Amino acid sequence: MDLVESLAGRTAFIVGSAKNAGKTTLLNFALRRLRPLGGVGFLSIGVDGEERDLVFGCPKPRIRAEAGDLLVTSDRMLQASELGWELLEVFPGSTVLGRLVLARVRRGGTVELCGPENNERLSQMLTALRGRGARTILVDGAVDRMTQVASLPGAGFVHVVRADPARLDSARDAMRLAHSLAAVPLAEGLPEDGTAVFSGALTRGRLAALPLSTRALVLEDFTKVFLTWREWKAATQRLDMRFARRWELLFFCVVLSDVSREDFASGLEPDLLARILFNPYEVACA
Amino acid sequence: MREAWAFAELDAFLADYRPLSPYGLAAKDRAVFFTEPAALEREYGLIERCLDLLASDPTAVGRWETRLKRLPALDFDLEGPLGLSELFLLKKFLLHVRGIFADLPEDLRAAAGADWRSEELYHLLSRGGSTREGEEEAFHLSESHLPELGEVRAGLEKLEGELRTLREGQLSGLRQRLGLDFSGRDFLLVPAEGAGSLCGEPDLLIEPFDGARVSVKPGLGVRGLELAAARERLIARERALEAQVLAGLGAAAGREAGRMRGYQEAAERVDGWLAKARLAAAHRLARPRLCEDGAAIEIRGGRHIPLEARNRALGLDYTPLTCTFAARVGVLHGSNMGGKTAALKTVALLQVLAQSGFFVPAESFRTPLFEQIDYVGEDVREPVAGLSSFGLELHAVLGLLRQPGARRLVLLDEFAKTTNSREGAALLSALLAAFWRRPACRALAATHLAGLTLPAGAAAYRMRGFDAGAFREFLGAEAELPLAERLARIHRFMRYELVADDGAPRAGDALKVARVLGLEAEVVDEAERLLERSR
Repeated sequence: MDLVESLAGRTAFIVGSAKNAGKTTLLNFALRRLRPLGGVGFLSIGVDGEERDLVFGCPKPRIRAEAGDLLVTSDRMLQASELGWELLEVFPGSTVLGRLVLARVRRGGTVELCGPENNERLSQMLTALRGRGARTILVDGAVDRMTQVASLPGAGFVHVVRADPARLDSARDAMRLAHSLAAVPLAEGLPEDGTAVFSGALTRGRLAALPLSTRALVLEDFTKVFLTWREWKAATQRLDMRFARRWELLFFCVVLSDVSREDFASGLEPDLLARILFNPYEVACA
Repeated sequence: MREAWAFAELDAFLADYRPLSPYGLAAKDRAVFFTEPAALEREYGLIERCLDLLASDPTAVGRWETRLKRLPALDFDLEGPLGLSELFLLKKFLLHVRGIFADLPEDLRAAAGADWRSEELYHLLSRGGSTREGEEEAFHLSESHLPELGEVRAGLEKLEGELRTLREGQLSGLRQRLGLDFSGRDFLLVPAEGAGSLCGEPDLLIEPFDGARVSVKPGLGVRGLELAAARERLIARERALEAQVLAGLGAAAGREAGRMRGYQEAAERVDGWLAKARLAAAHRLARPRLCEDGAAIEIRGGRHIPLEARNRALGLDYTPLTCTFAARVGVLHGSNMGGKTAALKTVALLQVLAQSGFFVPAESFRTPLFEQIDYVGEDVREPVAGLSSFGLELHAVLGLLRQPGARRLVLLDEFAKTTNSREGAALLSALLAAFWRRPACRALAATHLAGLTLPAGAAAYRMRGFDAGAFREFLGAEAELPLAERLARIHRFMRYELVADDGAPRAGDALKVARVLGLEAEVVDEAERLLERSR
């Protein structure tokens, strides 16, 4: 099945491995593909009102909204946009960029998004978007907001990875790690004896301090794993790893720079490769 | 008074009191305390009216409650400049207030002060409606406010159409001439090798992407740039006109700021009455009957709901309180774990609830009103540096004695229990005498101290205590029992009724309780022998 179209009907968080990974570009692409499949809604996590990328200084892509779309942003961002709009809801609280609002687009154009800083508000906004008819909801995530992805039931995430020759191995290992974490089962039916439960982060130090008698380890969710791919792989050979909360990896979107697809794919496991969408802006000329 | 509130466990009881609007919730936090019977009787009457409506027309009540839930907090200065969000919130507020007021029966509308006078403002904010049916809360800045706004938006729509046509033609040309398919994409990445042939294309913007690819993006062309610039200018004009509309709407709203405050107060009242009625229905609460100053406090079947819930959780029975406190000063004796504090808590809860405008958990409750309800006892006092628990009690009492004229109800729980019992009894006797000399003051003290000297006219009560006859059958049948079972036994044999105390000397139940709680029989037997010898 087409990976982008598989997002229809879902709430998908688009998160990136780094700044400028290409999240917003993918969001724009996915919105175009998903609109014909039903109402779309979108928002971002946190406040990000810069015109230019803070790290690289390049212009940031803006989100293109079309008539009928539902979106969450601040009232000031909405007024600074090109859109025609109607307000459907104003959420409690405020951000540095004004109050967060749910709007329906009456005339298309570009807009910048800003969104909630905490999970409770995020959940409220997702419910509001669904209630107003958004069949598919896309959330422009951020590198450091993975916990929000993990906390919402039924949500999945799309991991955008940017790979260049200097970061080729680390990008592949990060994907291997995410792919492996996605396969970790829930902590059900484990015997108490020999099972350790961690409420915080799993680090190399904490792993080493585990008693030798430990056979299974329960973590809150995937965001609590602070190991490299190799460390994780070694740990899973001696421990039955489980998560307390379910999460779902939908697919990877890989943006290559100075790396060919063949080079990138060499050595990657087939089931992981099947979950990769290579830069969709490259498809037409491939 | 907050000590009395805490002692009564008012917050625990009011967890089930759930106003729906931000205004009702704010009133809950403010905790109104009634001291005038007329205002309180009116409040009770309106709760009773809402109870009738809950029974006779639950659908209508449901409609009002839905709207109360949708009422937004107008947490901004209505007379200041209002932005989009504020005007949305105001429109939403007016929509639901209007709906509630129109739907309320005439008597409730009048009692709440629900006097709707903002039809013009509401219609001003509702101009243009919504693009969808059923979205009556939706808000936008309609072109009907300013004819020029309509013209600008029509111009924008025309320009958008032209740009779309131009772009479609351009993309079609690129596809045919160069095989570049931009469907669904703003740009394409193409191999750098061979991209040189694209360089002369006037409709393409080309930038390096990496060592092997370049990004190509359709350019707008001269005509496209002209259209885009015109579009920018129209959008800027649209925003300027919208700002004018916003200012006009804000000014209109500012002129009605006083009315909005009135609507909020009316919504708060209706919300409060409905929530109090729901609470009364859920807990089978009774309307208090108010009586003149100095009259007896009469309780029949009074329940301390949080305590009852705790007993239920432990699988224990609960005995409601029935008694009449006729004297101005009363003292309440009883066994350890015999229910003295529970009785005092019940009095506190009923009185506090009644004077906070609520119905009460009792079959009936008749009481006068007080200006102040005070509690002196342990657990709920704030610490004061350097004072022991006895010192804290005295500190609290000093405050009460310094206000001799106030109509107050003073509840004392185990006053002076941490000091020498003879001195404690003397001090409590003197304190009760001091309250007796203040005619506006009513005092009820629960104590285990013996040998009190009460003023003439004061009353003594006692909890009935252990049913010795029934309990005797269990003596000797002790085994290793868990604490929960031991507590259940105490409850089983303890009689929590409150009765008049005839003053006859009688043993307390401390030794029996100690035995049931599992103190070694040898120790309890020795204690009984010593007690007997002292008599």
